[in-house]
Amino acid sequence: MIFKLIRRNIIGKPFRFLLTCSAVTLGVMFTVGVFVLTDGLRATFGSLAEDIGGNTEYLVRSRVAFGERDLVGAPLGEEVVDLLNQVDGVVGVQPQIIKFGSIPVDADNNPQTATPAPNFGINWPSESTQALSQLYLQQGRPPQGTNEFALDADAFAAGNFVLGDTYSVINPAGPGEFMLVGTFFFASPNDNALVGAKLVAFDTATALVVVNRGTGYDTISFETSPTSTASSENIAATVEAVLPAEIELITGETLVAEQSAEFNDFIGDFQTFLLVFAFVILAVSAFVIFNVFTILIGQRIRELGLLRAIGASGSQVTAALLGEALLVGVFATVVGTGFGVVFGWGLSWLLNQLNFGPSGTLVVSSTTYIWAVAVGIGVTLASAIFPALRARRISPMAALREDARLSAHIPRARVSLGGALVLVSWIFVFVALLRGGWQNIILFGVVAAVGNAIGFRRLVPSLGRYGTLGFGLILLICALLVNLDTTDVLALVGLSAITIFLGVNSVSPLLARPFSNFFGRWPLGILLGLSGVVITVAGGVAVLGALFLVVWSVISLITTFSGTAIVQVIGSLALIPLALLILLVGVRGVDAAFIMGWKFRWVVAGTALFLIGAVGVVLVLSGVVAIITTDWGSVLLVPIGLAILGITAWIRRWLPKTLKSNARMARENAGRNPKRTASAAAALMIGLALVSTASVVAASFKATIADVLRQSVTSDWFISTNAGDGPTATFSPVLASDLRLLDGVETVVSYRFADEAYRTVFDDAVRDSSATNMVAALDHIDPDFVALDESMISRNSVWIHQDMARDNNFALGSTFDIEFPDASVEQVTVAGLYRDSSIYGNRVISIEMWVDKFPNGQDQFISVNMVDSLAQEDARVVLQTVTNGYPTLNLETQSEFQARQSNQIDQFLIVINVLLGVAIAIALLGIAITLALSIFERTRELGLVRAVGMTTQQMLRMVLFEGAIIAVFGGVLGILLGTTFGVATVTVVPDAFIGALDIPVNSLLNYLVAAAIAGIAAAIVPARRAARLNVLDAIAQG
Amino acid sequence: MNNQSDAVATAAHAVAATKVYGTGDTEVRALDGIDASFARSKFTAIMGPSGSGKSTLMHCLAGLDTLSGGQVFIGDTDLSTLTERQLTLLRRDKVGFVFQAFNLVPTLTALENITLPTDLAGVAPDQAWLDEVITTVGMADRMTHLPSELSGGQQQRVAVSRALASRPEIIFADEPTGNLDSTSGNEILEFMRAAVDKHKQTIVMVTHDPVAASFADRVIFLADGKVVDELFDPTAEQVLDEMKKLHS
Repeated sequence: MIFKLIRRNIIGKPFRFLLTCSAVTLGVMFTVGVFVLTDGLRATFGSLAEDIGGNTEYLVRSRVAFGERDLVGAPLGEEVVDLLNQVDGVVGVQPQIIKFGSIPVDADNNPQTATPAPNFGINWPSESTQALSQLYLQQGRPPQGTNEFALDADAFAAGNFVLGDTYSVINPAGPGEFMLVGTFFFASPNDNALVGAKLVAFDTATALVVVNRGTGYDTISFETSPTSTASSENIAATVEAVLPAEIELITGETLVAEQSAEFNDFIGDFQTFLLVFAFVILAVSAFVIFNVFTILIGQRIRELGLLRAIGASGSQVTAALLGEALLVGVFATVVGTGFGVVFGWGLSWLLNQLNFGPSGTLVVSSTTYIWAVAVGIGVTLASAIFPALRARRISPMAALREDARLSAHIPRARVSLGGALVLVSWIFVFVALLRGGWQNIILFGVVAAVGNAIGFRRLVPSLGRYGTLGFGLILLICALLVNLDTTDVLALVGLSAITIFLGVNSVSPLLARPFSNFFGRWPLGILLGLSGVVITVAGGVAVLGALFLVVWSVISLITTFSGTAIVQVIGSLALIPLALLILLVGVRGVDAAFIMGWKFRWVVAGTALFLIGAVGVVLVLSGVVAIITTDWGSVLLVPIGLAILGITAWIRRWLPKTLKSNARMARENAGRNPKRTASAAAALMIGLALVSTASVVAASFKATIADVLRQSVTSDWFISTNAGDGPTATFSPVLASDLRLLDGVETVVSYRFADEAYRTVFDDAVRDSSATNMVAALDHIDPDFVALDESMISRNSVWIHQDMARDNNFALGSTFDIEFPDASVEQVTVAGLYRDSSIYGNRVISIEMWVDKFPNGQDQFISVNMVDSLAQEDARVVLQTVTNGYPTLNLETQSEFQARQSNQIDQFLIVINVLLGVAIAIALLGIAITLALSIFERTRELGLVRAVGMTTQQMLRMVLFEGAIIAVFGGVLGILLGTTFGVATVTVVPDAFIGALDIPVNSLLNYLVAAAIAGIAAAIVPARRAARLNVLDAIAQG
Repeated sequence: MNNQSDAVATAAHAVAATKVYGTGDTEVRALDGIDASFARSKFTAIMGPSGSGKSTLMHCLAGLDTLSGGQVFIGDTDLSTLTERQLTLLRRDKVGFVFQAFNLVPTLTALENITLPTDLAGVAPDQAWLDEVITTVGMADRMTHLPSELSGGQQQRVAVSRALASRPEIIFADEPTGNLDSTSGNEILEFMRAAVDKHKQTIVMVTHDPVAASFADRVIFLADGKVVDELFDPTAEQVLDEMKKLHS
């Protein structure tokens, strides 16, 4: 019986069913897509690791005690090759060179930079060991001698190269001219397995000079002779015995395993990053589903009461509702998985366009299906269970009462139990904070939040809903005050964010009515009108543009009939509906603004009055501020402002007061069922809160960089590279020496950096460190020295951040030992203490010592001071004589550098916002569903007002306006919360990363406008349905 | 139909009004060529058994539904010539409604409900007339209440006030007492009677209650989509007798 009911409910209202499913479907789609993509990446990189290491039998390399070996491994000398050759049974000894930063420049002078994968310079193995090499010749011949090179097939195809011509190659040893003699495939005989990296190969002797700057080889591989009497294990053991302690021997299998582990780490990080967004999307979907089920049960309360009256038990009612949720979940899982595979394929395609994607077929592993089911069915059931349980308590009497409502269960007050629960919760929080560790904080925090919520309701039932909010706020305050690790504090902020979301969600119904009463008037009307006009214009331009494209593509189809032309025509046709949609939303926005029923001239007059009134308010407020700051001269602003306000209020009397019912009905509809409004807005609230948090953090990050550059960079010029990323974004130290020779250059300072540069012996911690020319750097960088003794600067001096000095009781002249990856130990003397860690990080040593320890190290930045007499543009010309040889370099003044940094942050922010955009789209879908359902619920009321004379136009406006109110309500809450979390994050993150706080008011206001318009867009379909209601049917329905 | 005199004397009339649902075997003639006119400043009741077409007639007269054939007029406006929007405006400006139940918008207060049609029209209500209506209905102290805070009878009185507030050409009432107990019902009927007598309003009421019909100046009886009889200044007993005749 119950299942028949479930089935009928779904068949009877297919539209509603599909709407409900859509939110979960999107969440499932995103999750499945992420897994398909990352599994594909894993498969691709797994086989790449196999390709790279598979041919190798044994490999020797320097032992690296710690640190990333690509960056810090010490080179091996020729003597190691000799050593290996002397061992019986060892054949095919092949020295190998591979280093970041060899960039070929094509005939059009375009440096062939590989992003995001790096550029490598390698050596071509000798003829005799070709068998175990990973290079396969495609065209031409291998490079020989000091002025020839070969390119991998993809790099060759990407740039303008011709075999036999001479090109410039920028190597770690500086740029040079080489003849291109051949192309090759990497790791596979007839296909490049490079995943976007680009390779330049020289013969071994040349590579040793131009790639490794004569320092030695990176690794040496060898084979064991099959004809030898000794087994390969024995030969390896002999080799190991003769090798010095600082050199190790590994097998090919170990190499493959190390490579895969490295790739997997990276893919894992990437997957986590994407899954965070999937999680956000699912959280928003869960809100939407919860909301929809609550409304559905509210609507069907009489039907459910009837079921109870004729003998269904409470659990049968719950079962019926959960059954419906299960079907929604199953449907969403199936459809979402299908879409997700396509979505994953799309993501892979996109990444492949960036030369960084999985190759081969799609990988859909069983884990993916398990996740899809867990996410689709699990989230749906979890979101539906509370409304369904609440439906148990529907009394059979509900069937008979016109105005039956689903009431929340308020537990009886039991002070002792409640008090105990709250107390225990707080002890949990306290323990978590004492123990530290982000996992503890999250786990204990969640348990404590639940306990607190349950306990508080029993302690003070009437204030129960504030319990969670208060808990979240106190956590936030803890996060700001408690001294913990950054990760722990961020975990605490995250936890408080979730708790505050839930808290606000339960409190926001109280705000819905006052908010819609306050905001659902002039302000929203004006907001909609103005932004609607902008969008209408944009839509109009888009339509014209789309039409132009159609005409243009049709013409090109006629003139040159080709597949591309057909695709162009289809593509341009597809743009038209999109452009029309924008236009429609804009027009509807303007239309909804007229809900007040103003004539055009009244709109203009009203807007003008509102703006004048706003001036009055601003004047009064500045006057009040003047009183507080005892700036008595400006106190006069108060009466002036009041006078302006008075005059506007007086003029307002002549504005017609009529026809405000639509607006009133819209805002009262929003206010009448505040719970529904609030939960419809909640999804959007979360979405916008996340976007606002990201904006505040990013803006502050930008401001920090600007501050740092303004305050601490005192040099004239800054040089950095476009090639590579993070630690691989380096360039040849030759550049700095060349610059020093130029006329007009005063000083040149190089900066090098490593994440794992050395170990401080006293606490055995691996430390990041910078290195620079300490004496010259004093004029280039001002790290805000607390103490400095210039006379102590030497090869063995170190400058440290004051925090490190404080923690370890170091002062000027203190000494400590540091151990480098090659196991050598040096004693350093503290020659300076500084406050500003933004450029140097926590420590900086002399570049002389760095060069000894990392002979292959390259520069990350160079700063240049010119003689004062040289004008900026003249200086640029002088510097360019050297830097033009390095097309990947940015030669920038301080402000140019700053602008580019901001630009990069903006780009990253766009990526984040696009990903969060999916969550916002779901939130808007939620608003549309809620509005559609509330219209269904209000059918009779809407029919009645139509009967007594509301036109379809007015009806349309009313529903659109209501949508805008809900969206702006969610938007305002979200932006307020997001700003709070953003400020909290900026405060808890160490100043070295983000020191300055900047709230991007303009973007935040733009989000609000966008929310209002999006509310209109979400309301269009429900509004149409409302407007098209048949009056008689609507009234008859009951 | 020309005649000034008719236009003055009748608030609404139907000429050969036909309404057909379905086709062929399933064809139902809800209105089968009805001619009827409703005099100005009079209280007319429409009666008839279920399915006689009385509600359909009212819906068509009020511009809520459209005819399959014939014409209906409000004043001298032929409704069949109007667009959907013009019909809406006609309902707003020239017609008042009282339904059996669910007469009020739950979000609006009693007063706001009463002024809803004038608000929708964007004109200021006639304050003196509004005061008079509210005083007559005896609910001046409850005007700020929401419908959920009013009893069924009070809600219905607000509904009648709303119908009266814009001084329409004609008020249609569809079983206005159907959901009320007899005391409240009588209050409403007396109030409607007073509106006709004192304020010269025109009311057409569909009912199946002989007592309610006895408040009218005239009762017309419908059966199978046709006007079969009429009574002037009826008593409840006369109406009851007539109904019995129709059923037999």
